[in-house]
Amino acid sequence: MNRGISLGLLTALVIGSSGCDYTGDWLFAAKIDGVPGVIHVTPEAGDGEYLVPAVITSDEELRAATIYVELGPTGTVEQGGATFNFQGIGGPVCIWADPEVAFWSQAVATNPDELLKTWTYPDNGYDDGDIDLYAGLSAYYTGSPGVRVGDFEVSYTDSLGNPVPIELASCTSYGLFDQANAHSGRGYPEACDIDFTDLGVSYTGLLQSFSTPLDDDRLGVAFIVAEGTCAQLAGISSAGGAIEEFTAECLLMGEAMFPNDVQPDPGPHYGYDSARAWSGSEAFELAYCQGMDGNMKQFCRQEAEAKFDSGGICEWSTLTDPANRCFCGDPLDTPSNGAL
Amino acid sequence: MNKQNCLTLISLLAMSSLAGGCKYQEGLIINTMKGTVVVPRAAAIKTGLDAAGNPLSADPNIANIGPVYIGVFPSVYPANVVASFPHPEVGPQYQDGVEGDTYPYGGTTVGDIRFACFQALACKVTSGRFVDYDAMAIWFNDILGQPIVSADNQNVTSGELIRQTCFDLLEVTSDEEVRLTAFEDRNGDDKLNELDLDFVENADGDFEGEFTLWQQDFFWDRDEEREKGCTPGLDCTGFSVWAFADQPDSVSGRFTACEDGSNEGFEVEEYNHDFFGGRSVPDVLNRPTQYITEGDIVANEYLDGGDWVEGAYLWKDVYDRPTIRLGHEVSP
Repeated sequence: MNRGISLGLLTALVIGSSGCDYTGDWLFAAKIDGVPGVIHVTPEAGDGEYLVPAVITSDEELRAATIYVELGPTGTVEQGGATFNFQGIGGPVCIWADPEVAFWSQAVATNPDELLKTWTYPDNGYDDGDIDLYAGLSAYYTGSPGVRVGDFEVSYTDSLGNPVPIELASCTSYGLFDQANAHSGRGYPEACDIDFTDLGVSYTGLLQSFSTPLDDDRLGVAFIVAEGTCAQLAGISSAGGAIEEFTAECLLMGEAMFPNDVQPDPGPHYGYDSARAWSGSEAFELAYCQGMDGNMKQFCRQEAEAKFDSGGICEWSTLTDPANRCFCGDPLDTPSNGAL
Repeated sequence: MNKQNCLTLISLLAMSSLAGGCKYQEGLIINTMKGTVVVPRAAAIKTGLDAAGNPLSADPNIANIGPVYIGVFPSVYPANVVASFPHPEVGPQYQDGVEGDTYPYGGTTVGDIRFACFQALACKVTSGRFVDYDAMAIWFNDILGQPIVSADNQNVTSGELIRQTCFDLLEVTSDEEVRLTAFEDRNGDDKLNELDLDFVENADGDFEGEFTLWQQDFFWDRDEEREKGCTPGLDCTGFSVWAFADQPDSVSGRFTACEDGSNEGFEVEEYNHDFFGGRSVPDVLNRPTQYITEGDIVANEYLDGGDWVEGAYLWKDVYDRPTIRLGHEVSP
C-alpha cells in the first residue's frame, strides 16, 4: 500500500514539476541533416550582398532569374524560412514565390460549376508545402538572417503605456481568390508588389515556411525578385503561367526538387534546370495549368497506369523510395460532389 | 473511510493540484461596459426647405441623427491639436500621405448603416431612427425631397411597399430581421413607438441613447499602477471615450463613413434589382479625420455629478456608466 501511495505522490510531483516548462519541440518535425530550416540567400558568389531585381521580358530571362532553395524543418517550435535582401530601384518591385507543388483541396462543392468540375481529381495531399511571403524595409525586419526568422512588426507604446504592435511589411500579398493581405493556401504561389522602392534603400524579403510536405519534410521553393509589378509577368512563361487563378502555378517551374539524400544541396540554385526537378512534377503542374480542358483526371489515370505498367507503386504519406512519389492521389479516391 | 482510501484521496488531491501547474491568470479585465451618449437637440433638426419649397419644421426628428461611432482610446486631445475638433491620440505616421492610426482599444455604435432595400437609399439609412416604414417614406419623400425610387423607376410612397420589398430581397418575414424600424418594446410600455428607438428625448430637450461595448478589454495607465498602486478596473486611470455622429450630407443625405453603395455592402442581384447596399467603412475609428466632415458632431463633454465637464471621459471603474455629449459641431 505504502508503495502505491509513494508512486502516486511521485507521479504527482513529476507532473507538477514539469508544469509549463516544456518547449513543445517534440510536436514538430525533426531537423534534417543538410537541409536547413532557415537560410539567407545572397547572389551568386562575388556578386555582393543584395539580390538585384531582374528585368524580365522573356521566358529565358524569367528562367535565368529564378532562384531555388530547399527548406527543412527547424526541429523546434520556431518557424523557418528563407530571407534575401535587395536594394530599392526607385520604382515597383515584384516578388513571386512558388512552393512545391500545386494547390488543391479535396473539398468539392455539392454542385460545382463547369470550371470546378474539371478539378475534381484525386490530389496527393502529402507532397505540398506552404510558403507565406512578406517583404519590407530591412530596417524593420526583426529576424537574424540565416539564424532565426523574424517579422516586420515594431512596437509602439501608447500614452497609457500599452504596447501596440504595428505591421510594417510594405507589400500586400493576395490570397488564392485575390483577397488583399491574405496568404495563399498550401502549394499555391504567393506574389506581392512593393509599389515604390526607395532607390538604394535595403529591403528584405521573407519566405516563411508555414508547412513542409508531409511525405519528406523538404520544401522546395522557387522565387524571383523582378523590376516592375507582378502583373507585368503575365504571359511571359512558355509554360503558360500567368497571374490568374490556377495558371499561376506555371510561372515558375521545377520547384519540386528531387532529394539528394547522400549529399543534400539545399541551394540556393540560380536559374532553372530541369535536371533538378522531381520526375513527373513538371508534367503534373503543366496538366494542372491546362486543367480548363478537364485533363487532370486523365493525367492522374495515366500516372497510375504508368506506375503499374512499370511494376512500381505509388506512395503518398510515407516515401520509402522517392521514385515512388506520385503527384496525384489514388484514382479510387477521386472526390465526388459534396466530398470533404 | 479507511486509511488506504484516505491516503489515496490525498494522493489524488496532490496530483490534481500540481497538475494544474499550467493554470495561469492572464490579468485581463474584460467586461461589457455601458454608457449614454447625448446628442444636442439642434442636431435632430433638419433645416432648409422641403420638397415644396417651404421652410422645414423646427420639430426635431432623430432621423436626422446619423450613425454614432463610439471608441475607447489611450487619450483624446482637445480641439485644434490634431484636428479642429477633439480627436483621439494618433500613433506614428510611417508612410507619406497616410495619417497615423489611432489604434482604438475597441468601439461600438448607436445605430448602424443598414441595408435599406432600395438603391436610392444606399448609405442613407441608419437603424433605430424610424418608428415604421411610413416614417421612412415621409422622411425621404416629403421632408428631404429625395424621392425613394423603385427598381422600375416608380416613386415609392407607401411604407408597406418598402417593408415588402425588404422582406422579399432579404428573404425574411419580420421587422426584427430587417432592423430598419422599431421592432422591440425597449421601454416595456407594450407599444412600439418613438420611445423604442435608439435616441429618446430627455428632460433637457436633447436626445440620448445607450451604448454598449460588448466584452471590452479594459486598458489602464501602467505607470500609475506601478507608481501609485491603484487597482486596474477600479481606480486606475483607464481609456478615454470619444465619439462622433456621422451626420447626413445636407444635400445628398449620404453618410460620409459609408463605402460606396456601387460596389460594397449587401448585394442584390435578383430580377430587376441589381445593386449594393453600402456599408460602414472598416477604419472609421482608426482614421476618423478621413470621414468627419462639416456638420458632424463630436464628443467634447461628459457628465460629472450633474455638471457637464469639458474633455473626454476617463474610464476608471469598469462598472461606471458614463454620459458623454456630442457638443462640438464641425465647422468648415
